[in-house]
Amino acid sequence: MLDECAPGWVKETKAHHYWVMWKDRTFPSLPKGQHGKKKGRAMIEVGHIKQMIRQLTIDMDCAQKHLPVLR
Amino acid sequence: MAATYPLLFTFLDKIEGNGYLAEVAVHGRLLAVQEDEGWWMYGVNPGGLAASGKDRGQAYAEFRKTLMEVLFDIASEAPDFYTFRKLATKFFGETNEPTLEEWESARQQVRAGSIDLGNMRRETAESPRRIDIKQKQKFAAKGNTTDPQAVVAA
Repeated sequence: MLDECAPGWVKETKAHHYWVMWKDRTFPSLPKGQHGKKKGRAMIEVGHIKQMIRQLTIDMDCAQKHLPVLR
Repeated sequence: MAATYPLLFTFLDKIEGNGYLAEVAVHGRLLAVQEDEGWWMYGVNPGGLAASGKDRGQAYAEFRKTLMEVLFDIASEAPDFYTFRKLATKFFGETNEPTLEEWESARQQVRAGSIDLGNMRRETAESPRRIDIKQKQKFAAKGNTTDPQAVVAA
């Protein structure tokens, strides 16, 4: 999704989170756990992705094409 | 439709950096959303945060923890206090504009009385949102504080 909708995005691994950066904007709180559904307390949830898309000003239509769960 | 609450919060804490101790007061705002599986807290200022929990209290605690962890990450890389303050201020200042629009809309609903606030306190004043960061030079027991309770923006 990021490659297509936020070309040139950058990820940095910090002690607590991943920092995802695009166009001078930063989302510094992406959990370092596995992707997945909430059941079983997967660490990266839809809410994190949704907020990251908003924070980085990524086009939501583009993101939804790659991640239908955002609809 | 999910219930949304526009909250104002203040987190008070001290952060140990490389050669300094910083006293941090974050006066921010967030959008609390009640969903089918629990609660989400979405940051407006700072905007780069989201956290969830089974109930509102757990989600709020998780949001605070996440925010502090971001500040810890900044502190671990900043070589000195001034760099830490600059980077932390930049982090706080990145407003999440789409979430701000929802926050403002929720605030209008609070003002119209169409959101049930339970026992939460309202704050009608336009209190400025900001992050205050000071380097601790003097140490005394009277400097110990706890967070004030979050309030609903109205």
